Amino acid sequence: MSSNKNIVYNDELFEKVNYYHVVQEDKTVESKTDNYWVKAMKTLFKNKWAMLSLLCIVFFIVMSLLGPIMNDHTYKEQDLTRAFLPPKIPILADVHWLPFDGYANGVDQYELMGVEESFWFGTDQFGRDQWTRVWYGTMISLSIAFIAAIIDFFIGVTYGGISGYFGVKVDNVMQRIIEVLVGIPNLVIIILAIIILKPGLVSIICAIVLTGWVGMARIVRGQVLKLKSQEYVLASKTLGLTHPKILTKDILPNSMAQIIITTMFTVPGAIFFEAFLSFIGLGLPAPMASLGTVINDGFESLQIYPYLVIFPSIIISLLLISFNLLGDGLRDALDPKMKH
Amino acid sequence: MKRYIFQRIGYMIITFFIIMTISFVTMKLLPGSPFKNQDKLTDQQLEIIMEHYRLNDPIPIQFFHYVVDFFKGDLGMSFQFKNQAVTDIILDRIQPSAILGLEALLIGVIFGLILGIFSGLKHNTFWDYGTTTLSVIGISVPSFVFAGFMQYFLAVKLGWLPVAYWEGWKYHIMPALSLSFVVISTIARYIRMEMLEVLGQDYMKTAKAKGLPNKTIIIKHGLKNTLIPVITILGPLAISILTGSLVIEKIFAIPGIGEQFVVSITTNDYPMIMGLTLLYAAFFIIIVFVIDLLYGIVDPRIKLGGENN
Repeated sequence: MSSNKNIVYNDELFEKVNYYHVVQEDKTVESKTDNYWVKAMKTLFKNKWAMLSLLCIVFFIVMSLLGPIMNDHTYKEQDLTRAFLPPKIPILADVHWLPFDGYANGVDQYELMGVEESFWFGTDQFGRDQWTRVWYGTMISLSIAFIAAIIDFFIGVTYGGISGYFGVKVDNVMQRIIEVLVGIPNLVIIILAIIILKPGLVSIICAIVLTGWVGMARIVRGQVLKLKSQEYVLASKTLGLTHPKILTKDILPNSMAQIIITTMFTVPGAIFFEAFLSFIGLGLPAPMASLGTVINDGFESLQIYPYLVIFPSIIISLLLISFNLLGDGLRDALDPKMKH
Repeated sequence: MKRYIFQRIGYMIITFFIIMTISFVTMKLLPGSPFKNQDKLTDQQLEIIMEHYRLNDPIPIQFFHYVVDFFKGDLGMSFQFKNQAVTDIILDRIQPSAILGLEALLIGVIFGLILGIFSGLKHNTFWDYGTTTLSVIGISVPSFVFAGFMQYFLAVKLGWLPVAYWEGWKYHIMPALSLSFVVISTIARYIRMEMLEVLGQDYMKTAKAKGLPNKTIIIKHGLKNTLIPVITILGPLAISILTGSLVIEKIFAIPGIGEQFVVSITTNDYPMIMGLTLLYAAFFIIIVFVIDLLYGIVDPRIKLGGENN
């Protein structure tokens, strides 16, 4: 013990170790994490429902991009002389038990109105091509959902990360803020936000994000709290890594599973909320279309022209089911212990 | 426990007050005028009306008056309905909404329990797969899609049920069902999962070894333990019913507060929007609180208020 006192600590005694050097040397750590993702992906690929859902989602994404340009109509082009035409697909026109024969009330409406062209999903009350509107609407709905999910992701991860990592005082303040936000029902906040901002693409995304990020922030905070006392974090600290680096290189990558799962469930939530807003009169303004507004418009004439509601309803339902199933699959693959 | 309850009530009041402030300021920031035919009014008439509804005062003072009136049970007059107080309209319309909500919750809980228990007991059978599929559909597909399909096929095509309105028990079926799908699915899913877990527990084996009849084992030991997590999801479910009721009441033309909310939003009826926002907020806050308390009572292992770490 006494000899310790004689040692003079100076910089020469220490050599700064290159963090990345150390980590890369340690092959076991890397292969272990690699293994985790490979394993998870394998589990996911084996899950036939999740794969089917993925296929379904990809199909709808492709269709939402290609659908509107598959014919010459635009989503806002009106022509009252061809309003309320039932769906007609030339190849299927003779198969009368399918709803694609152009008949309504036993009469070929296309002949009646003298329309040569075929409208695959029919036309709405303004004679707009429903096919184009439905796919255009799908594109808008998906965009709203993806953008909202990405913004949720960034705000939530940053907020939760900072709150959990710096702990104590910072955490206390940030958590109180979250508690108040959680207490305010999101329906109320979203409605108020949209009433102020005026319905529109940006305001709908803002309103969804306004309450959406809180869930992500809480989950990330929980993860960070759990991980920050791990030994490898301590090791990084000892090696002199800065806080932001520890957070982004050590802690967040290890919380990725949770973050991905949460994001996966944000998307269907946002799609639903957008549709919901359209229904209560806070959807996108008139010529624009989303799945919600298209369904809502169709509801006005549901009793006579059900096809206006049925196609977009099927699409939104399949999309939501697919996202939920894929989310379930991802959760099972990435975090087998987690139940809900 | 007492301290916890008081603390929670304190938080609830703060949250409510914040919502009140936010929504009041929102309503004041809104463009558009509460008058139907502003052009036809002379300046003098306009002045009189503005004075009468205290629209000329500075916003903080208006807010102060609003809060004072709120405690007297007065939420102001509706802009759209002549001479009708917001409170009266809400009281008039709250009954159908409350009935519909309770029906949906009840149907949801009962069917959810039955489906969940069966699929848990008959794991990996047709019952189980059927329930799992149904619950994925029920959780994902929005209530308005169910409502639309039922309305078209059951009412318009087959004519079995009335299309809309709110008159006899027949009018309740479709709206209550469309609202309850989420509840059925979520509860069935939870119960199934809990059931599977509980069935594998040691105390179930003990009960069996003691020679208890199957019924007693399942109900007394199995179901009782699966019910605890169900209580936690009742809160979010009740909230989703409240949210869904806005759309469902609109679709089925039910004279409830949800439909009124939608109408008020589209007609710029500020006092009405404000009143309903507060009502909904109060509902949400109270539901969450009650569920938390229930959770603590049902499962004594959960210590309320001891969440320091």
